[in-house]
Amino acid sequence: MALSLWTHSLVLKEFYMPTYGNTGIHAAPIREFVETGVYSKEDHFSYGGGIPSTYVPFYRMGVAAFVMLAGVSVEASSRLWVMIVGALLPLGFYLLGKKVFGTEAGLFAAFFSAIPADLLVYTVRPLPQALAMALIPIALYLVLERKWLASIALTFFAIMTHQEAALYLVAVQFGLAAFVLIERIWLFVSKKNESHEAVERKEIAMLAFVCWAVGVASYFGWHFLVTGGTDLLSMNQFVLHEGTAVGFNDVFGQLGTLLPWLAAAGAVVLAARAAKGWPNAGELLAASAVISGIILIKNDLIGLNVLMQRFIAFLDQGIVLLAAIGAAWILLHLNQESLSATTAALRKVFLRN
Amino acid sequence: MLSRTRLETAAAAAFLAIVAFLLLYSDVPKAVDAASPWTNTVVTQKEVEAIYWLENNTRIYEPVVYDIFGGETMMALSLRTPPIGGDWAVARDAVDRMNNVTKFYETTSAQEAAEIMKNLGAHYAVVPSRQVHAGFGWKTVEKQKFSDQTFFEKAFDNGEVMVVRVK
Repeated sequence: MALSLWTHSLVLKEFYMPTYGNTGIHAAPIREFVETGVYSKEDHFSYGGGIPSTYVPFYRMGVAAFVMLAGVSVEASSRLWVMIVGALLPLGFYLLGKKVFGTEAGLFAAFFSAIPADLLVYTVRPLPQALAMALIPIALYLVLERKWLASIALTFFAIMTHQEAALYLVAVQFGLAAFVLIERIWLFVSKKNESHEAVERKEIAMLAFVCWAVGVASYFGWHFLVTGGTDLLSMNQFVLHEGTAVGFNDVFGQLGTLLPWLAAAGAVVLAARAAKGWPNAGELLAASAVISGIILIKNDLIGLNVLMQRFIAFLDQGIVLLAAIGAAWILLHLNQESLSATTAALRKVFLRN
Repeated sequence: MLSRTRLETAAAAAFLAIVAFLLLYSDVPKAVDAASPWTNTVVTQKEVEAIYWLENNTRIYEPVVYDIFGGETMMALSLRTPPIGGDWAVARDAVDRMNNVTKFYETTSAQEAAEIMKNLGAHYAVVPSRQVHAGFGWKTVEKQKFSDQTFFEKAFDNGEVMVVRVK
C-alpha cells in the first residue's frame, strides 16, 4: 500500500491536478453540484453545453459529497480521491489474489499492481476510471466469496462509476459464468455426478451471471434516463471510431520485466490445472480476466473499433492476477524435488555441451 | 552440503530477492517515468489567473473560446463553457467545433477569427502563450491578429495570457 501511495503521489506534484484525460469534465459538474445542490442531467459545459450528461454519475457524486462534508476544494478533493484509489488498489488485488490462489498470490498481486504503466496512468489522475479500476478486484473477490448482496451492490456501484470499467467488469463476470456453463453442459451430456467443487462453481457462476445482468441493465437504465434512448452505438465514440489499434508492443512494452515471465508461468499453471480437470472458480475468473481484456483491446477485430488502447489498463488487471498465480506457484514449488530436478536438468545440459 | 530445509529456504529467498529487486529498482520506477508526463497540467498558473478573471467578470455558463485543455480547466474552476472540450459522446457538432477553434487560433486574419467567435456565440476568448490543442494536434497561436482593434479589445492581460473581447 505504501508503494502504491508513493506511485500515486505523482498526482500531487504540480500546482494543479493533471488535465490529461479530460479531468475537467468531471470537476465542472462536481463544482456545479456543490454550488447548486442539484446533479444536472444536462451537460452545461461539453462542446458548448446543452447536451445530455451521459457520463455515469457516482464518481462525481462521491467527490462532491466529500467536498460538501469536508469543506475542501473540488480540486483538492479530486486529488485526495486518487490517493484513496492508491490505497484501495493493492488491497483489492491482495484480497482477490489470496482468494484465487492463496496468501502468497495475494501478496504478489498487491505488489504487482504497482508495475503496469498503463494501470498507473489510468489510476493516477482524478478520473472515474481510477476509482472503478480499484473497485473491480474487490467486486470480483466478493463474487468468489459468494457475498450476494455486497457483490451485486459493488458491481452496480462500479457500473455507475465508469463506463469502460463497467464493460470490463461485466465481461469478466460473464466469462466466468460462461466457463461454468460449459462445465454444466459437459456434466449433463456425460451424465456424470457433480462434485462438491462443481456445485461451488455453479453457485459462484450464478452470482456472476446475476452481477452481469444487474450491471448491463443498470447501465442501459442510466443511458435511457438521460438520453431517452438505449442506442449506445450512436455515440460519437462508436460512430467516429475513437481509438487506436493495439499491438503486441503496446501491451508488453508497459509491463516491465517481471510480469510477462510470471504471467506466462501463471498461464502454464492454469493450463496444467485445466488439463487435470476443471480449475476452481478463482482460476476460471483469472482466465476470464485475461481473455476479456484481450477481446476488449482487440475489439476492432470484432467490428467495434472503439477505445482499444484504453482497455490495456484493464487487461493489466488480469495480467497482474495471472503473474501473481505464477509467482506464488514458483515460490511454493521451490522444494527439494523440484530443485533436484532442475539441478539434474541443468547438469545434463551443461555436461552434454 | 546444505540441509534440505536450508536449501529450500535459500532458493525461496533468492527468488523473492530477484522479484523484489526487479520490482523496486526496475519495473516500478519505469512505470512512474511512463506515468509522469500524464500528470502534467498543460495550463499555466497565469492561465488560471485569467480563468479567475473570467469568473469574476462574466456570468455562469458564459461561452468562452479556449482550447481543450484550457477549456476543461476553465469549466472546472469557473463553470464557464468552452466551445470544445468535455464529453463528446452525444455532442452534435464536435468535429466542426474543433475545426473552427483550430482555425480561430491559427488564422492570421482578425476578421475571420472574430467571425468564428460570433458564430460560436462567444464574446470572450482566452489567448495563452503556449501551444494550443483544439482536437487536431498542438498548434501555435497567431497572436498578432488580436491587436487589430477593429475586431478585438483586450479585456485582461497578465503578460503571458490575454482575454480578448470581440467587438
